[in-house]
Amino acid sequence: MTATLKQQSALPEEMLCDYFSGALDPAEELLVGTKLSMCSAAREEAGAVNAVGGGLLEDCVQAAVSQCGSDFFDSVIANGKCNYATQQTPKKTMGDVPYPLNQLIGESLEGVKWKRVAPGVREVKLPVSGSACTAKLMKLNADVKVPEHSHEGDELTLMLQGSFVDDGQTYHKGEVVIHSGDEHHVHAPYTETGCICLAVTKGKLRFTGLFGKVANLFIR
Amino acid sequence: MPVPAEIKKQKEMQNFSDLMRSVARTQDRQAFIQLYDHFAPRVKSYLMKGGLDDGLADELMQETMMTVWQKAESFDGAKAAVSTWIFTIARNKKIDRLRKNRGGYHFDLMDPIALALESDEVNADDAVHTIQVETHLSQAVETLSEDQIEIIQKAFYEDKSHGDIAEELNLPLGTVKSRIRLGLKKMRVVLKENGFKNDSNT
Repeated sequence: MTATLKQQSALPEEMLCDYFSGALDPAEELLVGTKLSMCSAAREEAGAVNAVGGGLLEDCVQAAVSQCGSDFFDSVIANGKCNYATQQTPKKTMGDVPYPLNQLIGESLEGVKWKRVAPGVREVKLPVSGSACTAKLMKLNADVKVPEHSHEGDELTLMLQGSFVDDGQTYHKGEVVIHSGDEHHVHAPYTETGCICLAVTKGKLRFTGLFGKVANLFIR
Repeated sequence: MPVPAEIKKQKEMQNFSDLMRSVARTQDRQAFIQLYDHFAPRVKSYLMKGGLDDGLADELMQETMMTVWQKAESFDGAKAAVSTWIFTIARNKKIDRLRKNRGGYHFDLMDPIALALESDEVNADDAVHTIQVETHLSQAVETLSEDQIEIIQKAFYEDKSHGDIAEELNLPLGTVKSRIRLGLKKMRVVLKENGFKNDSNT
């Protein structure tokens, strides 16, 4: 059975559900968080999923609380243990690095220390603590085709700059490609413009195709 | 033609929004107490369902209600229902407390930075809409089957993967996924029927 590409420029709602409940692997969470910071449509979609969580709150059986409202107010709030703060909304413009990634790679893509891994392909590994996945920033030069390969597990790719074509679909900045581990997908993405993307994978990479047989000798 | 129960519910929801506004504008003690008495027990219940023991859940619930007080001014009735806003605060506290040295990035939809990214157009109609949505959503929950509620609550409230939920309930993974999907779909239909402007997915 040929692997079907789950074309997603949006995130599937189960993934948003997991994201909100904290069930995602930290690297996957980072990718989803980055996507949300880049894409107002995704934020709206997420808002709808989040609203479901809020709706469920009404249905929650009430738990006994240690203090009733008036006691709480008088002992905590009136006592000045919790100061009423006026809200200041900082205006922020994002550099070319979405701000969820700032801590790991700074504010500009110019400053990234790329490591060449293949002709026209550079990458930098992102250390995400507590993660069972591999997170990388990848940079492909114009007119590069990644040799045909497959991943054993899930693969998520978020476009940060430029575009690439995967299984006949073109993905632009802010869009997400999701390959599920149970598809056993094989693909060979190609970029005409060159691109930079955030890739999160679980499980081993194996090159298939002619090039693959040789390359696999060097992959652990 | 709205049913009396619906009208009552809608009035209740309208009330919460008004209470928040009162807290924000005049630091209204009575308004806050009403919000606390309604939401605190539910927030604590949500936290306990997420696996926290009574003591920790009570502590985080108190922190949540303190934030409701402190950030009342940032509550925007056009962007979210009160229950959603409070739920989000509670969830963020739970996640922050439990994650410690974990990496990842939890994007806060209510984050001022996020809000600063949004376009500034806010409609007077939006606030009314949100209240209608909140009313209908909580009623939609009542239409879900016991199985669906149980699973959806697990999905939203516990940080378990679908695989873990399947193991715990002794169900096939496919069943867990489809129940969550169906439950979410039902809730989303409600959103769409009520013209929830944020729901673009059919």
